[in-house]
Amino acid sequence: MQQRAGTDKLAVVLIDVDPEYYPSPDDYLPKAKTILEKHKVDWPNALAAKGFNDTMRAFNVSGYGNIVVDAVGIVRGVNVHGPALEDLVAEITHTKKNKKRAGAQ
Amino acid sequence: MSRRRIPIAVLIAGAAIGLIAGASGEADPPNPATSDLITITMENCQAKRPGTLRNDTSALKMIFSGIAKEELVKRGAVEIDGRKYTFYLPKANAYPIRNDHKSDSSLDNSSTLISVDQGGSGELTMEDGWFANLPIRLGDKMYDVVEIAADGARIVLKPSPSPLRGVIVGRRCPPFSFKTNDGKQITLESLSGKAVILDIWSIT
Repeated sequence: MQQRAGTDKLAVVLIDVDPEYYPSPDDYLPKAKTILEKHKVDWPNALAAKGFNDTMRAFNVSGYGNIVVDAVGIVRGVNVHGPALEDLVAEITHTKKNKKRAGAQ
Repeated sequence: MSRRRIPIAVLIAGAAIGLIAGASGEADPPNPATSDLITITMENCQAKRPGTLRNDTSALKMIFSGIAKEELVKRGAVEIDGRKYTFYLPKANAYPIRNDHKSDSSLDNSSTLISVDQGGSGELTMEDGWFANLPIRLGDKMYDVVEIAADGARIVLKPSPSPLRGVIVGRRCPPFSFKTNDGKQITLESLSGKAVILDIWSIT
């Protein structure tokens, strides 16, 4: 999805809530790195030092999921997944429109 | 020591002036401590909202039975900047506004989970729950919960100096700042000009 939109148009940021639930970074960071490498993603892994307490205070969200924000900083979706997420990303990065234009020409 | 005597005609005139001033709304200046309070009168209702994980038991229930619905029994509305916000209170024996636990996450938070319909659609989602111990976002302004009546008949809010928090679809993303595992600082500003997917995860 990020490849389709282009890294100049779409950023994916992981917010890792592990720090609150493990005594040391050595207990979760190597495993996190392995998981990200396995999925071949180089997204920044932001650490929520107080876990869901941090996500609750910042976003009023305290569970796994996502927040989709457009290029001007407006929240466009919360916990959007699958085809709905693909459509939303295409819409806010104008990927779909470009494809249609290319098809029409 | 002699008492000063005030003629009765002066007292009657003074009372009359006081009445006239009161009738014209010039009696007392507003009290700065209370003039910005917003009182929402709540009435009985029957509504539901997709449940928020409140503790380990509800997490287990969700695994085995899917997302439970939270029963809402009080409803009241307020209009701010021309926009209507409908508040709901859950069925509960008490409506605390303080969190007695260490974390504000929904698994720990012991304060009242107030539901707010921000869009006036009448449909509530899981993200429409706001804990009473944290500032509630209405549009692009923050409000502190000052009081919830013991019987849920009233919620009192006050404008909060808190920075913007909480995501609402169609509204500005609140600012955030996290350090990445390679020591870089990530903020909303640093991602400006790009669409962003923030994905909350853990290795478990």
